[in-house]
Amino acid sequence: MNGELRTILTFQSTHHAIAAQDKLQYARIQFVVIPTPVEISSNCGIALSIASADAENARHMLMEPGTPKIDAILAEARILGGKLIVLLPSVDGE
Amino acid sequence: MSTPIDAKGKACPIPFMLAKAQIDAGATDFIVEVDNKAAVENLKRLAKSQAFSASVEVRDSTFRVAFLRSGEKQKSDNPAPQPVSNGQTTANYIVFIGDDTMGTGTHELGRNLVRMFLYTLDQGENLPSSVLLMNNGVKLAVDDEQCIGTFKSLQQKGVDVMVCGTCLNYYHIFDKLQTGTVGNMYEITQRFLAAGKVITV
Repeated sequence: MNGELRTILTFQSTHHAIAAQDKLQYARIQFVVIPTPVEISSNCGIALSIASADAENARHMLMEPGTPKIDAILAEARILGGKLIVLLPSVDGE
Repeated sequence: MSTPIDAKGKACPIPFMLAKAQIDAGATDFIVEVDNKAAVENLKRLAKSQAFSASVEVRDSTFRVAFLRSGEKQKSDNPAPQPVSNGQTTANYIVFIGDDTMGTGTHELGRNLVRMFLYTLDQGENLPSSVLLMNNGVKLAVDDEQCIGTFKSLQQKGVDVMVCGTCLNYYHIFDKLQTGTVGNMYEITQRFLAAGKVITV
């Protein structure tokens, strides 16, 4: 949707990105698998785009104790004219 | 009207070819009998492209497709789709996806890669005229939510997403197809031959 706020999750490794998909699926959080935007990292990697409304929930799921910790870095983005525009990466997460 | 053409039990593209032969021979009114939905869809598309009307009658497990000439035949037999009209396509190329993963390796990585590839393609300016899905590749349009969404978005921009009907039939997922147009080898080969460039995933 145009103007929609998205949160981009990036990870230390592709294995974390894949493990995170299982957790998000379990929590019924919808995500889109995207290549890590170059604004966030020059490392070619797997990133996940979720609705910003789900960001807190997702962070909670991924950091949940008792399961292998998944380090996710969250960044804000907005969909403009069908394109995903990354805003400033947030400093929290890692 | 002549005797119905019996194309029951014939795999695609045979029914299509039989009907095409009738049209090429100048027939204006004929019936083709087939026994699967894929063939019916193919015949209906053929009829449309040749300015025939096609009415379908189901009897037991047989579909009787009646062709009737309804107007002047188009100049081109079955034109490949023209590139997107909104100016987003700059070169005539097609994308061929023959598997539900990208590259050779683990399935989960390959599936993530193909999702990202399609996402990136959809975000870009230079769109293909067609995306062809074949063999395991058809599964992306059946059970992969993200890819289905991307295919729909590409179609809205005028990209022709063609799914191999034989493959859907083989994997018993014909009824589960979520997006795209079902095509036969005749139409798929035509797109290969008409393309300036083919990107194979």
